[in-house]
Amino acid sequence: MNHDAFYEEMTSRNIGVYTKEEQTRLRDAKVLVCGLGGVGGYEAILCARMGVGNLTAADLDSFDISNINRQMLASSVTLNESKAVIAEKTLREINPTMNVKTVMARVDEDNATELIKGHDIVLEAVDDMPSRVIIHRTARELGIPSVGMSGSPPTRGFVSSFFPDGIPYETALNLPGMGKRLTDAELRQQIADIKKKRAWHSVEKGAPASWAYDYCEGKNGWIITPVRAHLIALFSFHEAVQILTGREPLARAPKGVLIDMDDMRNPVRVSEPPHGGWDYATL
Amino acid sequence: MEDLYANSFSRNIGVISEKEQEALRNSRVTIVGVGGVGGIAAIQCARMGIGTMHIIENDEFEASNLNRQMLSFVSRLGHPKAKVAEEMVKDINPSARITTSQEWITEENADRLLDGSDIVIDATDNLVTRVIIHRAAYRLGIPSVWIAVTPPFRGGVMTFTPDAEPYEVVLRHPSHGLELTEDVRRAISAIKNERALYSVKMGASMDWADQYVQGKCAWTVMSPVANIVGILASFEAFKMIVKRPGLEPAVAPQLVRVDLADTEMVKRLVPTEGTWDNATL
Repeated sequence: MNHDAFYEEMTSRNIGVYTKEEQTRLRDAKVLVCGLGGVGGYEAILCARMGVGNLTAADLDSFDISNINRQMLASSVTLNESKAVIAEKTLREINPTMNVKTVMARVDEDNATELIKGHDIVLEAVDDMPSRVIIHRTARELGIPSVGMSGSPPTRGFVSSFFPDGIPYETALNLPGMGKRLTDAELRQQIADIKKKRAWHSVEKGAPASWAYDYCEGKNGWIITPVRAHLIALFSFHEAVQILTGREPLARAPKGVLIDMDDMRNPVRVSEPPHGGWDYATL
Repeated sequence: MEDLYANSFSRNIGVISEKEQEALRNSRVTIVGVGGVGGIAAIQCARMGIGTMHIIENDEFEASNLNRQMLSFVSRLGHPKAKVAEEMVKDINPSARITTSQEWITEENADRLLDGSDIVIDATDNLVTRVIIHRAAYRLGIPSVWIAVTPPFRGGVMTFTPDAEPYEVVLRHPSHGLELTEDVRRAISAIKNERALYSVKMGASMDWADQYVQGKCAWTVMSPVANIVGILASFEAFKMIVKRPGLEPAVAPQLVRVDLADTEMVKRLVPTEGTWDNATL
C-alpha cells in the first residue's frame, strides 16, 4: 500500500466528525511534544494515531521501573532505554508515514528557541516548574500556541491552551519573575518551590502528609496514578487537535480544564480562573 | 519478580493504599473486546497492577484501527487482538496472569467465559452481544461495566450490578425478559441506527449517518473519546475492587457521561425518568 492510501485508511474513522480538509491540516501540522513520560508519551502516540504528519519528541531521560504504572512507552522490556529512542521506534510502528524527529535534551534557556521554532504547536509535558515557564514563554515569543498541564495528588489535573495573542502563561498562573530569564538561580528556586506548595495543598485534598514531607525533603517522588496522567494527556491532546484543525479548544487560557476524579458529580470540566487568576499551588 | 511488582506500582502509593494495591493484585478482571475502548482498558488494568485478566476477543487488527486502538501497530496488522493484548499486558506486568479466549461471545458460551470474574468490562460494539454479556453477568452475580462511544464527541460509562436494575431496563431495550429470537435481535440492533441519526443532531455529519444506516460505512470513533471512555471504564473496575468509602462507582442508572463538545466534559447524571433512551447515548 502506498503512503497516501495507507494514510487514508488509517485515518478513515476520523472522518464524519472531522472533515477531510481538517484531516489534511493535521497531516501538514508540525507538533512538538516536550517530555515523553506519563503525559507526553501518550500524547506522542495519540498524535501518530490521529494522523499528525510531523512530530518532534524531546526527552533526555531513560525508563525506570517506577515509570511503568503510567507511562505508555514504559514496560518491563524498555527499562533503562532512552525514552526518545523508544518513542521513535513505537511511533514508526503506529504511523510509518509520519516524519518523526527525536531530540535527547531537556528544554532550558539555552536550547528552547532552537527546539521550538518551526512548529505549529507545543505540547508541554515536563514535570519541573522552571522548564514549563521556559517552554510557554519561548513558544509565545515565537508566535506559537502551547498547551500546558499540571497534575497533583490525589487525582487532580489541569490543562490550558496558551496563544501568542492571549494571556501569557506566567500571568494566567500568577508566577513570579515575569520577563526575567530563568538563569537567575534564586528565581529558578522560587519557581521550583511552588511544587512543594502543591504537595502540601495535595494533603488538604487527601494525599498523606507523610508523603508531602518526604517529597519536600527529596526522599520520595511525586505520586502519579495512571488515571490522572492519562486523562491529562487526552484532554491536552484534544486541545491540540482542535487548535490544529482550526476549531476552538475547550480551555483557551485563562480558562482551564479541571480534573478531579474524587469529585463524584463533575470530575472533568472547563473552569474560569478564580478572581485574580489561578494559584499554581492549588493545581 | 516481587521487587518488580512493588517498584512498578510504587508511584501509586499514597493515593492507592498498599491494601488497595493488594486488592487490585488479587482481582480478576474480564474484558470483552480489546478495540478502541477495551484495548486501553486492558493497558490501564495492567498499569494499575490488576493480578489476573481474561481477554475475550476474536478479531484481528486492521489499518483502520490505528487511529485510536492502543494495541494496534503496523507490525500487528492481521494478528489476533487477544494475543497482542496478552503480549502487551505481559510486557507491562510480567507477573500478571492472563488468559485469552479467541471466540465471539454467544448465549451458548457466555456463562462459561465470564464465570469466575470479579468484574466484566463490556467493550464490544454489537448491541446484541452486549445484551448477552450483561444478562450473563447479572445471572452469574458479577458486576459489569457498560460503555458507549458516539459521534461527534460523546461517550458514556455505567456499572451494572446484580442488585441494580438490569441493563435492558435501564437502557429501555425492547428485549427485556424475551428470548433473543431473530426479530428481537433485529429490534435491538435497530437502536444503533437511531443512535447514528441522533448523533447528527449533536453535530456529526448527515452524510456519515446516512451511509452508516445504509451499511456503507463504519461507526465513526474519535480517539480521545474512545480512550477517555476506556480509562473511565477501568476506573469503574478500580472502584468496584477497592471499595473505598466516598469513591462510589456509577451504578446504573447513574451514568458517567462524556462529551468533549460540552464544558462539563465528564459528568455523573441520573435520568429524570428513571431510565435512559439508548438512542441518545
